[in-house]
Amino acid sequence: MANTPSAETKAQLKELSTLAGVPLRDDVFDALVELTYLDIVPTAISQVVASLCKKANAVARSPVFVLDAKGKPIISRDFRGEVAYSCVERFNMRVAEMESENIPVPPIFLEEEVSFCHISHNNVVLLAVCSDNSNAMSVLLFLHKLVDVFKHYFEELEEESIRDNFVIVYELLDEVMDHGYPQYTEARILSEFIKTDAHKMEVVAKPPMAVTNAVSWRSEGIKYAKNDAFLDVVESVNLTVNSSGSVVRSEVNGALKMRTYLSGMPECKLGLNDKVLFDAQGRGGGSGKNKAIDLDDIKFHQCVRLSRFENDRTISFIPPDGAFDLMTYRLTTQVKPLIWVEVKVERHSRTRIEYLVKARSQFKDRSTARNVEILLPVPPDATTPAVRTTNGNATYAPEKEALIWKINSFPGGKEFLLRCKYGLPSVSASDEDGVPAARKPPVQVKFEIPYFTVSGIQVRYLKVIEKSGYTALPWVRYITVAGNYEIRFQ
Amino acid sequence: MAPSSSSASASGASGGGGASSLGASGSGSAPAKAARTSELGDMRSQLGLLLAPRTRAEMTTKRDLFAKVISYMTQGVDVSLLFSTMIMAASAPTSPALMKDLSTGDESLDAVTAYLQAYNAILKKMLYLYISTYARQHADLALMTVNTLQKDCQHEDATIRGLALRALCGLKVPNLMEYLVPAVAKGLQDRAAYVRRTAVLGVLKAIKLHEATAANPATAQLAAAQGHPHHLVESVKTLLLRDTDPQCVSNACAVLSSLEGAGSLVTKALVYGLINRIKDFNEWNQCQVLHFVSLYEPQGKEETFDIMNALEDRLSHSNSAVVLATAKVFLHLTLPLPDVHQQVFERVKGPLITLVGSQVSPECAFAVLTHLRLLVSRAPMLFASDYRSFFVRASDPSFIKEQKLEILAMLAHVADMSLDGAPTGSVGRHLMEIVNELLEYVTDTVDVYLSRLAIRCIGKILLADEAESGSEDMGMLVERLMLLLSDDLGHNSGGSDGVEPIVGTHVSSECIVVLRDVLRKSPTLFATHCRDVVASSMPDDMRLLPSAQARAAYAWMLGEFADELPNAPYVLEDYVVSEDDDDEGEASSSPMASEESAAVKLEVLTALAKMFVLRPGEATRALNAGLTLGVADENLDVRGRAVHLLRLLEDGLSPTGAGMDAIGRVVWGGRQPGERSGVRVRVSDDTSGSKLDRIFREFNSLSVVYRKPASSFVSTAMIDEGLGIAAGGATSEAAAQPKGAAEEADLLSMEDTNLLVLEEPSSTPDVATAAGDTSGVASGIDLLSL
Repeated sequence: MANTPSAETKAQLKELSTLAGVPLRDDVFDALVELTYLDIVPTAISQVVASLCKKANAVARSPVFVLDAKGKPIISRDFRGEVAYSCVERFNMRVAEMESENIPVPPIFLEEEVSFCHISHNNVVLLAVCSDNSNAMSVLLFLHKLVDVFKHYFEELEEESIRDNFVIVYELLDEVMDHGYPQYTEARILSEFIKTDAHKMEVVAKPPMAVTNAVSWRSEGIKYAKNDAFLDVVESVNLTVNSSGSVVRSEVNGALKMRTYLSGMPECKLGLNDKVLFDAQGRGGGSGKNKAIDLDDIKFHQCVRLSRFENDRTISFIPPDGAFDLMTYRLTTQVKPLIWVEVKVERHSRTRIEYLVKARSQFKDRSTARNVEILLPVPPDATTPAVRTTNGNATYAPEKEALIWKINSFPGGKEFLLRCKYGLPSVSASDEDGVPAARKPPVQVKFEIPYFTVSGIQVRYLKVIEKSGYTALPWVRYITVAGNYEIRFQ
Repeated sequence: MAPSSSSASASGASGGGGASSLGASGSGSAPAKAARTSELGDMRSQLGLLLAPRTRAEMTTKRDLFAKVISYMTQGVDVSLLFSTMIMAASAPTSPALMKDLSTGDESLDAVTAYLQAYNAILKKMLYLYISTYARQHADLALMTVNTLQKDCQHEDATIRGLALRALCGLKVPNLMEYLVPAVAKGLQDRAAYVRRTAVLGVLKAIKLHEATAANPATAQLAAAQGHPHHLVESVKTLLLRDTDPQCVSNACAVLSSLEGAGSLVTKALVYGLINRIKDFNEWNQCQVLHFVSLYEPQGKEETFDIMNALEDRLSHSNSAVVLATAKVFLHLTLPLPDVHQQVFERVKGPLITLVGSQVSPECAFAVLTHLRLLVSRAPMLFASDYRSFFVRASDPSFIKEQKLEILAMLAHVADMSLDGAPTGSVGRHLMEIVNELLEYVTDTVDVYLSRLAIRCIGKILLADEAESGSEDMGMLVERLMLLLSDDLGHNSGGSDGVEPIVGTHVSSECIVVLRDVLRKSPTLFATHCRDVVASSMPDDMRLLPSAQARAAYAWMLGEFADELPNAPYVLEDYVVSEDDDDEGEASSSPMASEESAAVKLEVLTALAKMFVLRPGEATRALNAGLTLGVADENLDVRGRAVHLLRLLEDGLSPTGAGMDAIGRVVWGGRQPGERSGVRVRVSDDTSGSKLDRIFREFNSLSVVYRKPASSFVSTAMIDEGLGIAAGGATSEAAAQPKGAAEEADLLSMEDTNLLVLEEPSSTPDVATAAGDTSGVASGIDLLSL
């Protein structure tokens, strides 16, 4: 039944496909042509034709765009060639398409041989377009660094700040990347190149290119009247408890965050408590006495001399100026949830529901959690909630479909209660019988516990040595905060 | 700096009106355009007056005017009118009057010089930006700028030298080649590192420009006359070995790899030199260097260990791109040493999982997850104990949830095994933990997408090759699915006030699809149970099902199990025959004739044919109606299927035909009608081993994100080019493979079942006619797209 194509037609098709840049092997080509003429799988044919056309399309090359909330380009810099502005349209179309199909838009996707990598920040989208097999991670990370750089210059990155500062944005884009190769993304180093800001011009110009120093993250000649170094030990607790009350996942992410205001080229040394250092070495000989702290994945800022750390466990570094994360780590050992929340749901009738919520602090009495905020989800159609609490205030936030229970001070080893009654409209969208109880969003808890760390990490000393011999004051603080703290309930 | 303030101060009366019309982004109405032209004229005359500013205030005005031009340019207003004025204004010498004004204050001479230096640099930058935007449109104007740029390349200030060189390289005008090449050559010898590193990239730009010129027939002659700037490449090579500035070295690496392919460049001496200096490089350069190292093939085991020891600490770097690049080096170096390779997996696992957990950037977590997914698929055992790290958090964006669930599906079957592959004591405990977690997602009412994904994920676990169909765990899983399905089907909605009644939600829709695939894989094992559920809880009216996929899956089940589901023919009959006009067989208003997706219609047609073979008496009426509709359908595929079935039946049932059995074999895709043999279900996104290897070779690039080798999404011209932040060498390796094969794989891997079928065209070996062949393909599709 299949009428075979004439040799002439075949030759024409073949030429067409070669022109389109799709040199097919002979047998593949024949098979495709045959399929085409069989007229059985039209979808396949359209795919082949479409792919032929796609191959022929010229591609854009590695520009970076800043788009507004509607996807319109505000500013762009093309590092290699002509900007194909049409590629932004393609990007927008594809995003709209995915959104309409309820598919999540991945941060990287491929459209007709062009890869779109994008991140959004406030009301702008940063979009990098590349047509080669780039390093996915560094493209995304580069965009994030770019956001940091912009923030350093404009305080906040948003549409308005970009529109007000076209010139600086262009200058920055020119310095952070050349011909698609990232160059410098340290905001402080960039200020050596970029002096557009009117008031910066008054500053005494330093000799250019401090970049050629051995220390690429710090420029020379920094001066402060008062030399201070602040060190914050911040641990954020991620916890997931499932509806049957068992801990599914518990993890602590820690960071030593520093802010330095030091003159010259200071040499800093940081000593941590022995416990941590001991365990960081990997194997514990006599871990019987001390509770072992297992710090995973210790990571240091690039300024830390890693070889020194490997040898004698001292953390020595020349700090960058300003704020940075000196060290980050992770703790995977199971820890007792610091704040435990139990929710009991009582259904008095179809329309009347009561929550009985117990919140318990499970840390030592000498610590106190501050600014505790417990978010209790209620159905969107809940009406007239009436709340009583033993401590703190609870308010109903309809826009979040939740009850927010705020406790300013929550000492360790205490238990607080909340009772909440609310009504539901008598006509309910879901039929009650036979329907499995729909899962509600989890209870979310926010808190901070000052002067406390889960890991028990402690700073023994922080020494600052500079050849001019000034004395610097180190300030150390500890705090544990709730990161992603979720407790599911029935 | 704000354009609005400068327009108020500088352009006087016309300022306000002009700015507001520009706010509408140049919609181009005639009066607005006229106003703008006059405003541009104003600006030009003002700039003319300010060529050599005499006071500090005038300097500020001049700078603001420049900034205004740039901001108009960004908004898409054509300001090329001002071209010559801009050039003159930017290059005018400092007037003596200004120097006097500046030095009258109490500032030192140094401060004044610094101020002027900074001021000049800003003006130059704005000018270069302006030039590079308009030079390509107005090549003649570009020629005018060459003089200025050449002079600036000799400027005493290194910053300006660098900027001018970059602007010159960025012009991309073929005629300017003769000026460009000497300037770049000189830049390569410059004292200042800033100029050198710009010049190094300038070499690449010059060569690309040359190639583009030569490729264009109109300008090929010009290119031939200018000659290829080979000598520049040699200078870059020297720089690579000798330069003291890390950025310069890194740029040189990038340029050379882009031009010659990185492979030829990677020598032992160079690699060792780079590794020893790695701490001098900034984070991005480290990525570039590490990429280089990953291309190097060490001579022996010891060398491998030397390199790994030297780079070990890079895994603790705070830049996740460096961590991934290091992971790549380790993984590639140890490929020939399986034992060490496994240890490397263990070593890089921790840092990667931490990156996923950090909440700094979901996008980066996404990129890491895609890499983890690749590693997990290569060595699931090693990740067996880490499955909890891939549990979903409510605050994760959907694209992260998707990746995590895919990894969970891969880990489900190994979670209960110890490293050597032997089952541990706790049979099924971890598996059940994963499944219970997934079931929690299924009942998530907030995120419907997650709920769907979770069911599909359970489906994948059930369909995986490792899944022992007979095992207790799998039985349990099927049980849970059935429960979900029958619970959900009880959930009615709509049905009043003109809203179409629907039975069940997305949950049942996904469950039915999974159920179909399970039945396909092992029709006998759970069959009785499943069929009971189908018989008891599925609605008699197919229309009530919530989605097209569900209806298609249901239709398949009805056809496949026609002999065991007593009401099967009647469900289908109701579907194809119109209710109003029962007697006529006239089907104008039957559900099938209405808006329905082609996939459902195709399944219904095949199901009808199967039914006809098994229960001819009951199915004839429905088959008649179905084929009548199908032949008239507007979709080509449906029409094709209907016509094909029609001919098959006509030929088969004619006196000389092959008879009912032969027809049955065709519609059952080679099996005996009603035969209950499972088919090997292949999940379409399960990529073959060799393809995975290719992707693995391109670790730390986009290939991993897309799960395709580079050759399938990068046009061949680009593959050799090497890339900025990237994996040039790895891709050129892929390009070295026979092009035809790559292209073929590309075409075949498109996500359309019709195409995928091509991979297994022999599912109907015993059907002779061409038509039969394709029908086997059509009805025996055993590829699922999950």
